[in-house]
Amino acid sequence: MDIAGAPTLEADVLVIGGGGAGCIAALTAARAGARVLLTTKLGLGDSNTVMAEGGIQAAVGSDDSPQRHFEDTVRAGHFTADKRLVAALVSGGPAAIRWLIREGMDFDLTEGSQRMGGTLLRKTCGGASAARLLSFRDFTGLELMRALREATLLQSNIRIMERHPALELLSDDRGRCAGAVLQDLPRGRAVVARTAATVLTTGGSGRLHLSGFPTSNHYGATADGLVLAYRLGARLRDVGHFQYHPSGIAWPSPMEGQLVSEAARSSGAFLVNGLGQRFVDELQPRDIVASAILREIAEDRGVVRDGKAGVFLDTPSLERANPGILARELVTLRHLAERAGLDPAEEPFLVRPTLHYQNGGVEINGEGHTTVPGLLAAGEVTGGAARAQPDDGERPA
Amino acid sequence: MCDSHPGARDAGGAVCLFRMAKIRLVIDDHSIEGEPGTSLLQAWIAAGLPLTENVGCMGQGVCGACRVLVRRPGQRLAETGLACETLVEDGMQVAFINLDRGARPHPYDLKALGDSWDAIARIDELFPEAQRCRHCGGCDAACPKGIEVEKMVNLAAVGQTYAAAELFDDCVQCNLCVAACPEYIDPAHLGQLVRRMTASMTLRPSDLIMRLHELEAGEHRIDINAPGALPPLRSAQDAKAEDAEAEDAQRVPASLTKRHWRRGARTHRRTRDNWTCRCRNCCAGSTRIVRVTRAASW
Ligand SMILES: Cc1cc2nc3c(=O)[nH]c(=O)nc-3n(C[C@H](O)[C@H](O)[C@H](O)COP(=O)(O)OP(=O)(O)OC[C@H]3O[C@@H](n4cnc5c(N)ncnc54)[C@H](O)[C@@H]3O)c2cc1C
Ligand code: SF4
Ligand code: SF4
Ligand code: FES
Repeated sequence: MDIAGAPTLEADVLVIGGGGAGCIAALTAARAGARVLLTTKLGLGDSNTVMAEGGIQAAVGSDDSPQRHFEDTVRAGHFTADKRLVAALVSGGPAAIRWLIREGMDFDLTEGSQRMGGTLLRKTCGGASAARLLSFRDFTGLELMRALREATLLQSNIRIMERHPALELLSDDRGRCAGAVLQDLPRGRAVVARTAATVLTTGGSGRLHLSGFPTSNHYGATADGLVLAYRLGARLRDVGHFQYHPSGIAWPSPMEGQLVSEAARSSGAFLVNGLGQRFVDELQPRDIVASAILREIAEDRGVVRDGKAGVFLDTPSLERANPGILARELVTLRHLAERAGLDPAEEPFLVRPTLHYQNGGVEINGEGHTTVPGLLAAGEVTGGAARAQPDDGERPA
Repeated sequence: MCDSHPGARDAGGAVCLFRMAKIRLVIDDHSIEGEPGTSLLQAWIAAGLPLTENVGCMGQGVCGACRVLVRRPGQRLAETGLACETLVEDGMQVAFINLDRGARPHPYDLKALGDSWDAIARIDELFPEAQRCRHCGGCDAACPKGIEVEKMVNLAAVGQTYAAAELFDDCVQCNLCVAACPEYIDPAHLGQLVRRMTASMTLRPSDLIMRLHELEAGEHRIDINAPGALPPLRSAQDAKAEDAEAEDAQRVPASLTKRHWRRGARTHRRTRDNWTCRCRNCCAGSTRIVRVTRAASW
């Protein structure tokens, strides 16, 4: 890569990535008075964050506590997570929700509850011992990203550079991270960003389609951050650990990999194999449900349609047991069915596990510092909070 | 045979004709053939064209990045849409719409809007154009999500903030309504202002507030070594079985254990690590000298 003569930009903080973690990092730095450069590969907000459906976990219920949240998370991660990181994460959960509300993000309330003095709607997700999944309809990520995108656009000391992927991190002669080389896609040339601190928030890697799996991730999720950090000498951890979401669409093939939200299973939809039998408790942690589905397919008990194998997510029985539930609560699911050309009240979805979340990543301490001075990381690109983490709603940001 | 179109088969009866027939369309001056049932974005990729912009979520229809103008055969006017949600049709003419979502013509600081008594009046100051809506319906026609944009603008202009905010529940910030509005009202951003105002000024859940108070009072310190955070205790029998299994997994293949090797003739002063295989069959049945470094597993 030739950077001789490339234009140089200077700032206090460089944030690489324009998803939820990137916007939060940029806003935090900018409000502390720093001049911030936010660079992103696609457009601001075009990310995994905007696609999140189910919700964010925070222990706010009186029947719940941060300790329980901590223990559930450690258990779901098969006791391999960095416990201090998890403790910091769950203790900060309620304050993070308040922060998001202050930025203008809305959350669903329990039915009939008032906006002032009411209670938050809490759903239960796989592996949790109490209801603590806070959401907005079934497009929580969109609501979060809308508020953050607007806040970031309006913050005057953040300079946003869309379509400028980072190609390589730079270090100075003392081994500190000193910024990055960016590719200016519209102009087709390199740009050097020189900064005192760099925050890596490039998200996950689903679009690498590991082992040929389809993915639920956005188009830019190609593990860039792992490579950038590794090449600068930052330590990574658990990079072999990925989460497969049990219910990705298996058929029709143009929609392969897209998520059928866990909300369907939380509301009581069963998984059924080709023999018409249930084969797993649908509310087990995701790794367990996903393996069970793969086993059914591998042992020829799956359902094949146009060469695509999967198992059924039985929405018709759910609708029969709770008439009206599809129309009332599972809005995104209904849209999805419409696009797949099926009526979920009549026909089940064909699902199969889809590559969903990168559990491992760049190693950080409780303050977000990587092992390279001057380089910080946040969001899905980091590792340690939840190796083999099976559930939504844990997002170090 | 094809389940979806059992009637349509080729002469051999094996392949569905619908699957075979390609659809022809034009996207940004490229003539493309697309598979039926695929989206405009998928057809673009399948044609081998580079995709480095106008894409984000790639199919979920939530990021608003893939705006297109679409004209179908026989249509006089083109329609706006999202390329990841619009399926290919024969004879379509498609153009991507590049919109700068980074422009910020109506700056404000959410936290400086004052209390809610003033805030509603501030909408007028921040978005004065909203009073001049000419009810042309351009924004409604442009919105790929079918949102009643004009109604939202009109409600916001008379201070009905909450009702306005609710109408924008499904907005994906594609900014097509911004481009369509002849009065520069910026509906997408006005909608976001009323939504953010509503949330930040009126959402005060009691359970969250109580938990925050407890945390601030120093309650809920986390005990990272609490019994629930430790792996379950194993019975002696389980432990033995598991350890044996783990050991098994670690076991080095026979061909690499020390017993299978003897020190070979020193071929060179410095190659002390040369060993010869004794068993004669694990390494291609020879007595040839095999270089094994000290780091090997014995
Ligand atoms: C369909 C779906 C549903 C989900 N549902 C939930 C849920 O209900 N609850 C939950 O907690 N989590 C959920 N997740 C996971 C969660 O959304 C993500 O883990 C989280 O949003 C990641 O945020 P991030 O900011 O770290 O990464 P992202 O939001 O992915 O942002 C990364 C950004 O970095 C940019 N980028 C990448 N490479 C480069 C580069 N080289 N240079 C510059 N920029 C770059 C990308 O374009 C993108 O803008 C879901 C994920 C998906 C895909
Ligand atoms: S309201 Fe405007 S920005 Fe929102 S989806 Fe519709 S056209 Fe796009
Ligand atoms: S496009 Fe602008 S002027 Fe026309 S109806 Fe919509 S908001 Fe009013
Ligand atoms: S790619 Fe996100 S809306 Fe089309």
